[in-house]
Amino acid sequence: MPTLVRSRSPFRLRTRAFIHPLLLAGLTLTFTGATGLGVVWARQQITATAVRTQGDERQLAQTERSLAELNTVLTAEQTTPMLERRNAEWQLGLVPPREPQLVRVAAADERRFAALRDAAFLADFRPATPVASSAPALHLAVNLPRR
Amino acid sequence: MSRGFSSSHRLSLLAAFALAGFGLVGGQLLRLQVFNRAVRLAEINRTRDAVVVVPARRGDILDARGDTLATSRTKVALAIDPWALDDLLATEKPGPRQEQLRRAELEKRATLALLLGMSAAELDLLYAPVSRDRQPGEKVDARNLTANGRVKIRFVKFNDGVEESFYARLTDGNNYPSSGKNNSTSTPAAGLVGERYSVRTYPHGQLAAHVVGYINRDEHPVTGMEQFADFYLRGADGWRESDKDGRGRELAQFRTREAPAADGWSVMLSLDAMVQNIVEQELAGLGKKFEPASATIIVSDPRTGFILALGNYPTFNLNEYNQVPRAALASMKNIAATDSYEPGSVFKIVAASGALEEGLVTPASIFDCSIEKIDYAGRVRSLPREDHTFDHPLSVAEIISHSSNRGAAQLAMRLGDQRFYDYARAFGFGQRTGFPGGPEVNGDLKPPNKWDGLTITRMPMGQSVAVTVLQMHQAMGVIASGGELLRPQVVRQIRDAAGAVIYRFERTPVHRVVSARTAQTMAQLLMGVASSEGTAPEAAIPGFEVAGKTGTAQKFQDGKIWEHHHVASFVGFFPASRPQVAISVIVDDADAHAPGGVAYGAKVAAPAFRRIAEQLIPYLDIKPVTALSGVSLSALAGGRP
Repeated sequence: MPTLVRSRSPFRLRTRAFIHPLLLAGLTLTFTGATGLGVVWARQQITATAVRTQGDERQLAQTERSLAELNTVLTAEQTTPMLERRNAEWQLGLVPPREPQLVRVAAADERRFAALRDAAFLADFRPATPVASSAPALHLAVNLPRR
Repeated sequence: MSRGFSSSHRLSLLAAFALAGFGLVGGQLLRLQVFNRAVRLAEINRTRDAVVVVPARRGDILDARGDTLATSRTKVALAIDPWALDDLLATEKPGPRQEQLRRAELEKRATLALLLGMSAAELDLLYAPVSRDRQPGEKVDARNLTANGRVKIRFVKFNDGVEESFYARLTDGNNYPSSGKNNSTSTPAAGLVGERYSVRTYPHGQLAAHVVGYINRDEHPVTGMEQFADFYLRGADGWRESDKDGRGRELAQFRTREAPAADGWSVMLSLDAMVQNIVEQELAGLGKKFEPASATIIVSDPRTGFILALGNYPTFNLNEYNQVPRAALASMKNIAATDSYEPGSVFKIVAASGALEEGLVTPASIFDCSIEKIDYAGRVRSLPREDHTFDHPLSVAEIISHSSNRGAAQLAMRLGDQRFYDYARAFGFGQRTGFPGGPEVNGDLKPPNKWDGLTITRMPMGQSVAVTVLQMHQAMGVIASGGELLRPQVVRQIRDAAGAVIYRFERTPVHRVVSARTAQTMAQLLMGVASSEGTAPEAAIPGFEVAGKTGTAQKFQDGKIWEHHHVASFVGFFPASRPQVAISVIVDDADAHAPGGVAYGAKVAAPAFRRIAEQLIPYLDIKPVTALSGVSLSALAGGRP
């Protein structure tokens, strides 16, 4: 700092006081202490996090084990022999359908449902009375359903 | 500050002490870190380093609809540490508090007995301190030694395994009276030790036991899919490097390296648990009614070769594989692949298909089946006996529908030795089918140079040849599939732990055996078997075209024919013109309880075929097909359409 050394200004002494050894030592100690405490705190946080993670892992593993057990029980409850037993126990009388009970529908589902819908829609229509006997019967809409 | 205190003598002395202290510390550090480094490091590594294995979960085996056939879960073996109470009491000084703690623990023990369903006296016996002699040179922690130098036994096992939920109840402190040591929280009874282990569970028990297979207690796959697909199922264990504390517990903050476990993949089979159940119920019914030596039923989709159900009688429960008595060990074999039998008349499809394919005959070609001898390759051969008498020459269609032995022999003679043999090979006989999931035998199909003079007359009717049920099923599948030999398959997909499909198995044709036209003609001819004129009207289902062939073969065992012991079979498919299901029913030695004392395929196996088919129709939504396109059966037999 050439300007400070060469000048005789009153600030020279103050500049020396700023770098007083005691102050330097204090700062160094503070810095070292803070760093040390920081390291300890960081390590403690790492440990706490690791322990927490370990606990979560343990809980997750326990949940998975419970889930596996539950799945096994559910599967066993849904096996055919078990369902048949329940059917008998609860007197449900459920039996698989036999061929004579089945009505097979040959038409495509879309057409069948469209026909059903049309039938319901056209139920509100009735043919108009012909004006003359020779006139063709017109299908006029009365009471048109609102959409 | 006084001058005395700051005398250089005292300061020097203090500094010397400090220096000596530092010197001692330095010396000790030098000793530990330099001179004894190797020894200390080894000791530290031994006591602190921990490599924790993270076990991978074995994949599941699923049926075609995702129903679980095999899965893994954990169980907990229970034990008592008889010294635990002493350890606990040692944490308190002798006095009223220690006595209070003891009383509280005894109360908890009573609760534990209640939870375990044991009497308090029984549990007290387990808590009786036990010890053993110390082995020479054995290193034992001081806390594990008794006052007289014996080693404390800390694991007295009393239960092979309880469910996780039950173990959670046993270890939940809320189920116990509050501890005398700390009234705010409850802890479970001291000394209860649980040891987790992985178990393979088969929720359906015996369902598809021979296909699914099992793994033993050492987690080694023994049979079935467990063995075949072990590569996919087993996964890879992970590991973790870490440190452990004095009690062996992992210190998570010191984890260094870690490789996560890769769980096993799931294997989805083509088996359908519902179809399998229908098959096994039928097998149980056959077993109850006829008490046969064994029986096998296979159901498959003939268009793809995928097996929908495969069951054997007798069978076993996969969850109790280790409780099968020695005398019944044969029940653990998949006899559909490991045992061969003489197929009888079902084998006639080979000669008929071959002759039709080569254009040597048509369905209307006529053969005289009343003759007893025939000239073949320059020698007179005697023809086999017929089970029925025929008052007129038979067409090829009638040879099949009436199951004429002499007709089949003459069809094979039209083909000749070598061509007939080649067709039998092409149908898959005499070689393994490649069925995954256990050992398989070739069967026995001798080449023509090893035939005797009668083989060409006997083999076409299913004698002098041995086949497995799988081979016979596969051969009938040739006709149902339109002429191709398909590999019988049972694995549909491989899925990863997240459920994504990794690999999909597809229809696998081995080769073409006959043309589609020949296969269709054969299907029409086989429909005649399940008609009122055929040998198995019992297999007919009103409204559905059923094609199939009966077989009733005398058992050939230990070098001789067993007169009153038969293998009854019916192998067929339906609807004949658009096959959706192929079913094979093979019943071994059901004569004792069969009608008339002879287990005919038509009487024993064909009804089973029909019962299964009737249940499959609504389940698989099989629609009736009224008539085959083109020519009627009577037209094929030479009559007018």
